[in-house]
Amino acid sequence: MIGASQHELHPDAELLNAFAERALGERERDQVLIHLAACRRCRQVVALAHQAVGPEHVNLEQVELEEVALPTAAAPAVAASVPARTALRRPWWRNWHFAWIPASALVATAGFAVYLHVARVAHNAELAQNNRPVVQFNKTTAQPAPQEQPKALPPAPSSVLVAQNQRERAAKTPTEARREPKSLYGGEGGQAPSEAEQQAVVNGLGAPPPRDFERAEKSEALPEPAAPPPPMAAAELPPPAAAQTVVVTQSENAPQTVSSQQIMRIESPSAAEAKAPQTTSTSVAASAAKKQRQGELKELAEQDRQLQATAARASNRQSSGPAPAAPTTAAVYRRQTETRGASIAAFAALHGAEAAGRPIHLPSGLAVVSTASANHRMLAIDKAGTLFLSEDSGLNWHPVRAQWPGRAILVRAVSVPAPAATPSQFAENSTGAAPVAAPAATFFEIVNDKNQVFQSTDGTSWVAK
Amino acid sequence: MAPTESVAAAAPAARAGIEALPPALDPALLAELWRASDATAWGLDAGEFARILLEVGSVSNYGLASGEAVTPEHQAVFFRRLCLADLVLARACAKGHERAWQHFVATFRQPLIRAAIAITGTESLGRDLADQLYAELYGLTTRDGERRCPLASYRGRGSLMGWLRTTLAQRHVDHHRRTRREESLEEFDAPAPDPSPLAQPPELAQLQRAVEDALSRCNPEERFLLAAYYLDGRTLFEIGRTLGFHEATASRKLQRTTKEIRRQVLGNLEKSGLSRRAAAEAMGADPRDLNVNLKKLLQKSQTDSFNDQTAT
Repeated sequence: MIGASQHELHPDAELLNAFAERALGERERDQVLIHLAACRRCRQVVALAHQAVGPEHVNLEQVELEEVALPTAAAPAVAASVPARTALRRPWWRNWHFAWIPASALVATAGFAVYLHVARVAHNAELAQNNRPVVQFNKTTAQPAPQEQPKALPPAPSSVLVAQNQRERAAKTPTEARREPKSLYGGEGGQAPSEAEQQAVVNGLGAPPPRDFERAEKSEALPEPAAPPPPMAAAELPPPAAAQTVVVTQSENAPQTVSSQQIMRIESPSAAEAKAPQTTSTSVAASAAKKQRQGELKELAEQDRQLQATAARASNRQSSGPAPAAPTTAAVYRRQTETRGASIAAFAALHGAEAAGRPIHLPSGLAVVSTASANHRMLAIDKAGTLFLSEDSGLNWHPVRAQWPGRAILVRAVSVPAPAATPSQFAENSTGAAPVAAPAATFFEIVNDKNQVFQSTDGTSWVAK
Repeated sequence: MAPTESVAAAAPAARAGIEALPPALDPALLAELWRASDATAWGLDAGEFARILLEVGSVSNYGLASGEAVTPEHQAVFFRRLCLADLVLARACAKGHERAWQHFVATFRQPLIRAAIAITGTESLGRDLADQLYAELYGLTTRDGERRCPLASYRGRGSLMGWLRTTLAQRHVDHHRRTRREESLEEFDAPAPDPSPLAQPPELAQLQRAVEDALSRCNPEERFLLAAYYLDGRTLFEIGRTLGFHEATASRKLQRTTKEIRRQVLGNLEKSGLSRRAAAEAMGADPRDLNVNLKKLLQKSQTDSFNDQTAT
């Protein structure tokens, strides 16, 4: 077959190339296709021409093929708007095809995760802002944050206890702080706030014991059957009445223990009683307030009894052998002891430079349950209920013989002003001057586990009240 | 001269050429094509550019069947589909424009050699093929005292590089077909003719007619699929690349085609008087017993030259 005749029989290179590049119309393409179906030579030519296409030309030519293979009907409009061969490259995202589906799902998932994260962070920040350590008294100014207070200038006694507790909590690692609510009653759930509570009550300071606060946390974490009574919600608490209302907001470890943050309103003994050592008169004693106070003391005594029983059980189990709950109960006891030590240190800081920063070590070696001091005399009750007296601001201690039934659980110092001069005494005063108020008398009181109160002026001789 | 500057400088000439155009070409369209072609860079004026366009369009009747009326819309679509930059470069090279040749050599020389090597499979044959074509493109061959350049036959329907590759492939295939026929007679062991051809059983004759009828009903694309896959042994990827779709699509089309052919063969057998069961049994006949030449069947329509087909 000579060349000329072959050119007549086969489509020329122009048509074959245009066919391969999809540049032909439907009619011409069908004609070339009919020929290719029957002509092996032209099929070989087309196949070889495709084979020679370099990798760098494949994409461009494929694009060109798709661009020029427009339907005849739509071609004029498209061609009129787009000059030929000028916009051959497609956008990069056109090649994604079905990859858009998983990509969209991934983006949506990531967006949702970011949204959750942002919402949680915002929530944490809001809680952290709301949970700044603020101690508010209804008639006093708010105390500064505990972290900002210099140690040499302790704030009011109640806030000292709160600040001490906050520092203690802040000293924990975030992991410990996060674990703490879960370990309530079975682990490290500290009973220490009971010490602070007792201190506050004994000293009449109305300090907000964080005990209820911690109970509020722990009651959410562990539904322990043997747990102490569930915490009272703020709405369930009795109205403050004349009592000193302390709003304590704990913010330590805010990011880690956001869920355990609570806002507590703790009702302390009445403000009149709290200020009694300094300001009250003998007529303070409204019987209603006294009954209320006694009821509170009774409740506190009951709670403390439960705690001590738990600690005793832990000690017994540790001594008798390993028990499933022993480690956790022992941890409760250890935690209780440590916290009490910290509270006592804070208390000592209030009552003398000698005792500041020095923990109380009783001869019995047991932990201190309650302390009181007045006129360089300090009384302390250990967890066994034994009363100890120190006459040198806590340096040396010696036990006091029990003169009361049961076990002592609370000791406190009460300051009562001397009664005013009687008219006869006034008459005996020849000078006619106004009577001079007698100095206030300070005595100690002990509350036993039967809620009986005994008084003593020197800490050694006790009589029932 | 930069292309933009050349266009700007040639604007008066272009306007002059446009005014002298035949009325068949829209001046606005020509101005648009002129700007897109960058023809002034190769020394072509607007009149010559218009004549090239009209020649290209008239050769293929603007992509329409011969004798069909050409509307301005068809004309515009046809011209906008052309590779105008390659077209004017090829025509400038065919005319012997020096700067066009420099550009052509710089742009297409190395790709031409690489394509030739890829087509032939060896570097030596590839370089020989490329050099031979390059010599022809340069116009070393003359006929009747006139310098002939294959680039003058390029009409811009596809890319110039594609045209060069196809031309190389054509020459390589033709060379291979020619040299294969020049086989010595000593090495050619022709089979002896069958002295007494056996009469074909009637079932097989019916089956042969059914197959021929089914194949004749295939459309061009199906026929191309069958020929490329079963006769040429092309892969589905190569077939899909040639036809412009994915190999998975080629596979589906091929499967659909064979299924349809089988169904039609069964139908033809039933029409010829066989029961369904007998038709199914006839489909299980050994293909070697059939005197069916698929190559002949598929080439049955190739009785006329391609030019005659396109003219109809």
